[in-house]
Amino acid sequence: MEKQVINKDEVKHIAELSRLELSEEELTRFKEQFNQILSYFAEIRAMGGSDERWDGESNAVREDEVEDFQDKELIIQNFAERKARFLKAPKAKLK
Amino acid sequence: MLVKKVEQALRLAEKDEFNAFIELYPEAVEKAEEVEKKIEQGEGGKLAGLVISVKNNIAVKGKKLTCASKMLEHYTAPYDATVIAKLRKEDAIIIGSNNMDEFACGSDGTTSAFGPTKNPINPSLVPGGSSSGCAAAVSAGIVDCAIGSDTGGSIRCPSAFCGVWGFKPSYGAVSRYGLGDMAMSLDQIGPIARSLEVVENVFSVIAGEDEKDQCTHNFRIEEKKEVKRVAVPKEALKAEDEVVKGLELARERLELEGIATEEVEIKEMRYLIPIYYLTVFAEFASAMQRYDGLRYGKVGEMEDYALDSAKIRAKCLGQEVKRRIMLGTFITSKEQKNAWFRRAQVARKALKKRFDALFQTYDALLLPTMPTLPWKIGEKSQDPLSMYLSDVFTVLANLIFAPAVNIPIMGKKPIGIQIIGQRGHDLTVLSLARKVVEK
Repeated sequence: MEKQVINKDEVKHIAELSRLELSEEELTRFKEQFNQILSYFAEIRAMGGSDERWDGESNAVREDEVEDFQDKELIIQNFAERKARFLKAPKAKLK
Repeated sequence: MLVKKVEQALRLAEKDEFNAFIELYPEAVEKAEEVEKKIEQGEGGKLAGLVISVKNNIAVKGKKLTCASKMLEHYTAPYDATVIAKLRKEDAIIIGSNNMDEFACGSDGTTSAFGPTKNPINPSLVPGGSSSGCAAAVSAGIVDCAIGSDTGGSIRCPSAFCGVWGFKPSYGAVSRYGLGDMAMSLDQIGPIARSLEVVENVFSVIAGEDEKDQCTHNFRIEEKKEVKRVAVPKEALKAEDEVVKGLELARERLELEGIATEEVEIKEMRYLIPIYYLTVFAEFASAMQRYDGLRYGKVGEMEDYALDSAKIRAKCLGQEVKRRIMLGTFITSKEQKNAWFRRAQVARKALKKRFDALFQTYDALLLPTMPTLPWKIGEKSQDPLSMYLSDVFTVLANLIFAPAVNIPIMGKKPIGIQIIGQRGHDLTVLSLARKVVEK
């Protein structure tokens, strides 16, 4: 049996951070699967090189140029709720 | 003639025996009439008469762009992806969009919110994923070519399982403007077809620099290189017996062409799956934040943004997508990122160096596309790790930004053999693939 990398409370916390409301059954199943997957992936530690920096690929950056998008109506049609040309959003409540 | 061909393709796609299509574009018939006239007048484009379908994570203006997810079930693409614009310009006829694994998360075509795709060779088997509908539509003879995307094998795996050609170009060779991203540092668009010639033609049309995708380069200026030595990773010989037989056959053919094929031990092969998936989880979790039920997803009333968003995401996203979002959130959290995400990036860098060195000695790699033959639909759905492990031979090309092609070797069962080349040497890879099938 693989060792436990993540417990159920942590899975629950991760679900909250991921903005996913999960059932108890899903939390239990994910906990088991995550432990199986992460235990296997822990093998990567054997590859070493832990202190090296990762700078990614070099970026080719250009200046942004503002262009008028021709088919705005096609974008607006995708809004869940709209008021005239605007996307209607719910109130953001503060905790 | 062309009109009839398109009508027939639409009829078969409508019947959709293999659940390979999501939406059909009936106006393709009118386009066919127009192209037919152009051909008669000798004015047809490079792809005039080619019947094409497109994975449903690539934007076709005015058409549904679902990524095979309930989250985007009602989303309409407001513009054409660069590849679509290029295909249209050369008179390809696009007849519809293809089913796929949800948000391209899957290796066997079973995670679509619209039901699994079936393998035309044997409908009880998986077609491979995530470009499942693309490969099935091509294999069933419905379209000449389908445009897929490949993040860790999503073009090559279904091509292998459905017995067709599939090409993942070098990272940056084809614009991804208009592609629903899965993992930005790995994603690439490419063609699936029944012949290498069609793959080459379509690639020549869709390749090239695009100011809308800043990762693109004009790689095609690099000409075909003469290939003398090819490396066969020893680890590849651990594949299923029938697959290894296919590999041996490909080796023999290259040897007959005077190309040396040498077995090489590549110990990094065992780290490929962790490096790949840790990278994917992180990039995918970040990419998926935008699907909150407000910016995307016309799926329900919202009163409280945070609470309702979590409910909508839970309801509209499938298990594999949720799994990847959560694992990505976990491995990039403040407490965990050094142990997982950062380590994977450092390992990826070391991997790239290892293969840069290998390509000093060898011109290309020859290995199977998949370690096994296609499995039964549903067989791996409850076992995500075993699904991930089936990508062991395909993820390498994405991790090192390399071009890779699946060569179908058809006996009684479909076997796919893969050639991986150096980044930018896409044409070398394709011409080497031709040598495998020529005689």
